[in-house]
Amino acid sequence: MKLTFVSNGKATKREATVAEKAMLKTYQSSEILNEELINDINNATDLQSIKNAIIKRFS
Amino acid sequence: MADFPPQGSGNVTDTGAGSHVTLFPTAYNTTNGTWSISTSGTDFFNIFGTNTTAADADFMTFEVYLSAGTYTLIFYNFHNSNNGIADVQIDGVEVASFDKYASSGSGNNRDSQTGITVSSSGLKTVKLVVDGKNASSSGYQCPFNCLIFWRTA
Repeated sequence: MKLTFVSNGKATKREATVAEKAMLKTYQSSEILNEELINDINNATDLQSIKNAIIKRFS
Repeated sequence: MADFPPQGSGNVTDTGAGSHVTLFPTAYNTTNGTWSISTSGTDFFNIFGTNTTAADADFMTFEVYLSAGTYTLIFYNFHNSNNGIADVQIDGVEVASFDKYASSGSGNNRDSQTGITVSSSGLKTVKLVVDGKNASSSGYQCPFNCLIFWRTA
């Protein structure tokens, strides 16, 4: 998920680094949380895991 | 129907008491450090900016027309244990300083500074700049939602 970053007054859209994702997740960026949901669903092995991922995203 | 000033035409009229100017991170002009601008599902306006470089002296500037008068500055922002002190300057003069440190994180904080005097009408450079940190803080992050200049007189 690409986010907007501004450096030296110039905006670019790029993937957040691991450190940036960790920082932004603290502030509840929807993009980061959605990406986490997609990853959790992709890694799910059963329906309960998918349910838990959705509940975690929206709780 | 009342006539409204044409938007984007460069024609600026004097704004009276009670008027507001709201500056979102997307309205930046220049920056120091790297800032992310992204959405948030839990905050007012669903937008926030933060300096991912998290360094002292990181800043964003905004160009805005302010009429001469007295303003209250409202600063919607996050507080956290790794946040710095955020100063607000108008044309290089500090008009407010907010210590964003808190022992635990929280969003939608409405901090304010009253009695800001703008002596002459015109285009102003508003700078939001990290200026040090609380002794208890572990960093210089400056996540915020917006700056609002509310003209009170």
